[in-house]
Amino acid sequence: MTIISKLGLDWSQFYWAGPRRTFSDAELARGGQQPWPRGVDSYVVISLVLVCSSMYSAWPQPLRPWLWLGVAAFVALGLAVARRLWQRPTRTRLNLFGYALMLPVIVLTAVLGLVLRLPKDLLLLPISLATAFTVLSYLGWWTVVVLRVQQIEGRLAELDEQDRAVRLARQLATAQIQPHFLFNTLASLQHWVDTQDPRAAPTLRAFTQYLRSTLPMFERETLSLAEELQIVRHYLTVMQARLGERLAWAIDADPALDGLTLPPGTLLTLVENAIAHGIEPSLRGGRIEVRASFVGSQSVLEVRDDGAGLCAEAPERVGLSNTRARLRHQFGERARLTLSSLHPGCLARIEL
Amino acid sequence: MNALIADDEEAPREQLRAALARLWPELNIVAASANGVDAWDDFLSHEPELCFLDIRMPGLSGLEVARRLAALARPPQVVFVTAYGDHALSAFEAGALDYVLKPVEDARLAQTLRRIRERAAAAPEQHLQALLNRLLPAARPAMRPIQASLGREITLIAPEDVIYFESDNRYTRVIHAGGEALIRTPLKELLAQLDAELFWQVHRSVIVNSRRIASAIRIDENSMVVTLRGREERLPVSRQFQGLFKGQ
Repeated sequence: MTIISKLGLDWSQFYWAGPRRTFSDAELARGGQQPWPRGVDSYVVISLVLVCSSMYSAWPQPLRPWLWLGVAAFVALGLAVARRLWQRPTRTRLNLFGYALMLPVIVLTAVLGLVLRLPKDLLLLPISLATAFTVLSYLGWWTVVVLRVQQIEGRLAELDEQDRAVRLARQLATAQIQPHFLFNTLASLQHWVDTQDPRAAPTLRAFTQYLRSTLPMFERETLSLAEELQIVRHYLTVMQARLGERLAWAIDADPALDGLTLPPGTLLTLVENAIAHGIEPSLRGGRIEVRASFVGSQSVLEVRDDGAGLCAEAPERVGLSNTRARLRHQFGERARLTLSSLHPGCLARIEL
Repeated sequence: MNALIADDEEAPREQLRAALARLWPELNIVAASANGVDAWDDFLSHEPELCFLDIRMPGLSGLEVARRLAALARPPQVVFVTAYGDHALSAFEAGALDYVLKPVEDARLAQTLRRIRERAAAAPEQHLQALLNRLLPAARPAMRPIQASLGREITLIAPEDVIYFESDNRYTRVIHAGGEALIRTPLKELLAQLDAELFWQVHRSVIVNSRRIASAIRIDENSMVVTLRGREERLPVSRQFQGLFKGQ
């Protein structure tokens, strides 16, 4: 006994077989929607027809019509149960179906043999066949349940992994704190701290606020326009300190739009683009204007610069296609993000 | 040794200057340029032996300036200054080019400076130009026509019709197939917009359409001129650019 218990055998498998893992409705809906493999039906039907044909001549004459009827009933029942188990593979259902099949066979045998006292040579073949079919059905069901549980488990793990990757990518895409911005800002700050330049303190403060205000971008699906504008304001304050006279900027937002929710980083991406493609490449610098207003029933957000930027969508403006996709995700097809040339400069416009 | 620093932001530029003053007091900073166009112009007027170039600069990028420098008869040594995240970084590592990261750290900069001093006498790197060609986009977007205003009239000059540009104080004289015009864009800024394959700078104040050049004539050891198809004037080629005309 001790040896057997050391083997770690699960004795319940002896009378209540099957995997312990069960799935919630949500899990089944997510990972268990694969269709029943139709090939199994043909395989079972063809096998049983072949087996029965081969023993047809050995079958007692009076019972021959019953043979086909019995086989057809077994096949129909076995496959119907298998389909149910495919949809919801649990140990409980497997065993309930299993016992529900075995008991009538046992009872029927007992009644026919012991109560009605039918002759043995008449009963032997049908009873053996019924027993064989019962065992086969049960084994088939067991296999379906075990494999199916593994399949759903694997699919769920796969989907989880995929979700994690998507979430991470979204966070990174959202955060978009470009290392270039980070390190260039640190370079300026370091110099101003070293030389005790009065620009050090306010710039460090704006930079810290920028970083802090971008943190919710990691956690939340949407930001209010007011929050988004705050991030943009801190960002422009930092850039202003770095670029000096080369940058002028203004934000003009209708307070009625403060509560508008946006995918995090929507405006910031446009402003970063205006800096990177408009102001920084321009020898004389330029001006950035951020505007949020109602035009008719539409909310319109605009970022315009009068810098050197080529307005055509260059492939490096990855942020834009990303922003566009996120806007469509939140607002559907009515969301529009367009770029147009201003000569000089560029206008990015979002209509919601 | 003389050096030039180019960065479009003031703080990193000054930080580098301060670090260089600490680590190499004898190094003479002849220019601190605020963009690529100025960097190139400042180089031509001072000819320092060493250039610190930021990569992202308006006008000409650090890589573009470096490519022009590498094409000179006697190119200076170049150290790229860049912030983390530049796509060129891995290429610098692979190509053993000198670079320092912003914010500049003394230890790392000292190491680079040591290498530069050791190499000061050695021949210029041949592979620099090839590497830069690979890093830089093949072609700039086609240049728009040049708009020269005279009174109320604005003349549009197709770039390929230009014979040469000549710097004239703060203006630029455009000598083209249909005559002459004066534009307000300084030559050094124009340079950044021109196709460097077609338009050759032969002098600090002259850029010539290479298709219009008839011949280059050596006057003596130091001086050279080019003659133009269908025109009388001869344009000076300064020593820096004489390498353009080598014969084949």
